[in-house]
Amino acid sequence: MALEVEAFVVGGGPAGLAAATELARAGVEVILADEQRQLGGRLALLGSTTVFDGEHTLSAESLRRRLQDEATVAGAILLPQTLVWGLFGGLVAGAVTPGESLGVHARALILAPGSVDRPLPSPGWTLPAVLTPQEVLRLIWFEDAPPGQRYVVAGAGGSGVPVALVLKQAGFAVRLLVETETLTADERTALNASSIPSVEHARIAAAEGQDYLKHVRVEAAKAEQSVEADVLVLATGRTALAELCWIAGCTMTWEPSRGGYVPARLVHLESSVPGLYVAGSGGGVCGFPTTLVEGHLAGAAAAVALGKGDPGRVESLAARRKTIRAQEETAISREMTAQERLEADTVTRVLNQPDLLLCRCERVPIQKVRDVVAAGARTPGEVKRVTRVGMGECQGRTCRPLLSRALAQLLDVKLQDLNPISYRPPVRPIPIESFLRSKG
Amino acid sequence: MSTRAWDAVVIGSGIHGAGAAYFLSRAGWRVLIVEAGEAGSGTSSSTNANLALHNRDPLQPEFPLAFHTPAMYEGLQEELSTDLEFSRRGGLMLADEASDLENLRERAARQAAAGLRVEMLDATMLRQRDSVVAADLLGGVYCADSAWVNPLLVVAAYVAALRRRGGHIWTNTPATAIRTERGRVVGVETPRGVAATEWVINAAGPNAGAVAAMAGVPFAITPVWGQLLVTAPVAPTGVAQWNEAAIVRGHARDGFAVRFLATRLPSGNLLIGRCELRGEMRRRVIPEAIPQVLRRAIRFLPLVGGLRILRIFAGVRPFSPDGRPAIGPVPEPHGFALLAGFGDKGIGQGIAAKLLAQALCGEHPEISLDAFAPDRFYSPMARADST
Repeated sequence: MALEVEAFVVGGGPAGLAAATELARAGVEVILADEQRQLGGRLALLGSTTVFDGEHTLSAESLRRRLQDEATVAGAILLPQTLVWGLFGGLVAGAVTPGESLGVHARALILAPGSVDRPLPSPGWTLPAVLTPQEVLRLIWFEDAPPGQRYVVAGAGGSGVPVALVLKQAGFAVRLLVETETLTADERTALNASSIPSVEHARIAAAEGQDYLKHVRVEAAKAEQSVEADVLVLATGRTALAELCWIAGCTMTWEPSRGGYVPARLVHLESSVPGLYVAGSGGGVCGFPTTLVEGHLAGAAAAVALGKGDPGRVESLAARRKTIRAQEETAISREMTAQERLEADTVTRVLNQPDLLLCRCERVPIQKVRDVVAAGARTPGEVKRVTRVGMGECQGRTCRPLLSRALAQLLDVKLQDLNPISYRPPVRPIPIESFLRSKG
Repeated sequence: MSTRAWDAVVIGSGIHGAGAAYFLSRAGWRVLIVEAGEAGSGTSSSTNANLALHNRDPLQPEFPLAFHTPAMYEGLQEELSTDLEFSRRGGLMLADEASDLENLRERAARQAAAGLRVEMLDATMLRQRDSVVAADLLGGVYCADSAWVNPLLVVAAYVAALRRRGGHIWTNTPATAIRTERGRVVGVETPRGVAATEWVINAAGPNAGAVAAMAGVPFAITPVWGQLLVTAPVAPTGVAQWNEAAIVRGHARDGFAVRFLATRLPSGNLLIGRCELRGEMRRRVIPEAIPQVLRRAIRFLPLVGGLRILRIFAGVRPFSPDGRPAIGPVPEPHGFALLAGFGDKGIGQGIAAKLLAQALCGEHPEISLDAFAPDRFYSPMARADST
């Protein structure tokens, strides 16, 4: 079925909801699609732990509900369980719901896909219940299927703290928070108040167990410890979920301070593809205050482009965005820098563990990658074509950056000088049944 | 050999370009490949790579190329000491209409006479040969000689062997001009500099027309876009390649000329096709073509309905002006050869690269190249002048 709409917002997290609200209030006909059953993006995963929206501190659940209500009241059409799997020329989106396949033709398209958590390799990372925060929290909140009772959370630059807190609040035992660098005083206070033990300047050495996780081996400066756990949550790899930007042909730039590759954006958040805006962490990892103002800014800018908005509002939102981003710079930078250091360090170690799988889906060990490089492969694409790295179920989501980093180290070149392995639609495996059901 | 830097510059590192470079270097030539992208990243990386014989008619001039190519890849595994994932897995033609079954029967007789191992199958025998095909098909043909090879491994092996013999490949380096002097090729211009050479081999796939124009040679490639859907892995069944028999009827389905074919890769994934859009040069996914291809696939292989799609990629099939490959030197300029226009039968006719190398070395190619000589495109005057 083909849907024609003035504005299409992809992603129903805080940025997407804010954009949809802004557009609807300006009188633009807007549809929003989110692949989850519940809207709110990361807010829907944080239970009632507190977040800061730029003005007030409130529970994640209250903020989530407020944003959804605002969008609904303003007149935006919200479509949960709707996955946008590809973008094609002329702002055409391929979307799929459990029952139906849709083609959406929009005059303005706002991408607000948020950030994605990627796991870093370690011995045992293929064991069941070594998961990312999004994976774990979706299982808990959306599927009511917690993967275990006892959790170890790994973080870098403070990234593990919100995850540990929400797990505790949800009633699980958080045996240890492992931080690669240092926690802030506030973070230590919050963890103590929730009786969550933590260790700093420490890293995950290995996940151990026979058929499933039993222990997590943690390596700190002075000592090693082994913690019994059912689930290891790797909260150490948050980056912009930029697949649709790549597929749409947006110009991408390498910005490690915002998590990695991000779409190049103009001051009103338009990408290099005319009519395509990117707002929120999908344009570079950012905090909630930024995602909200960016959602409003992109919505306002798109409304003006459609002949309906108020240019004055766009300017004032742009100014506010600049201020808010500057305010969060330190905190985001702390997290992203720690993450980058951990990833670089992890890949260095992993290159010396020849049997460790670099690509879990296709079961390709490090040694195989080293072999093909020794035989002359010089780019991620060349490695992928002869080893199948990135061709499996996750289509490179986990291993793409690892492969680039491994090659950068093996070839002694800069990571950003290597083209990552290509992105192809669909962004997630799609049941063929869904492609075929179409009303009209 | 000459005093020039290279004995041959091959433009394009797909299955044919990389192959020609390898076979020439094996004969002692100094060969440079100039590749605009990465090795094998063109049409050779967007194909199902079937070395299909079950769907080939011995009446076609290309039949000998298709017939002898599988054994060539098999031999290469030993020659290059590399696993190319070659296997003779057999292929099935499937008929769902009586007229198609008749056509298959006639052709099967010719295939058998030409030395292919073919079996004519009625509905029952078809299900015995492969239990996953739809129960209501009328019958088909099984050919045990159909094979498969991994084209990306082949290209990588060709390039590695080329390097071992002192050859080179310049990747991310397009050919920008071809220099000629007094009716002879003298070099290829690239952003990395000029490669002085005795021979230029145009193996540029969809870009072969543009490259030919650089040498002043008229050679139009008609691009025909296609798209493959990759599913999550499935367990092995009786065969690994399926084609529907209908050819003419396929063109009736919208602009995309949909006709079912599927390949099961060694990794277990199914590649599902087939669709066309003539004249489309861009390798882009076209969502409108997806449902028809899927419906046709489900009609022949019902299990497809329960699978998931992991990836969709597009490719461009490069067709020559008369639909037959162009293999060999052109009348002028001297030293310019075509190895192009393979259309939708590139990987399966990979022996063409070896034959061209033989011809350029002054040997009799082991299969006659007469039907593929480029001079069929040029005027009798040009042919007479080419001494």
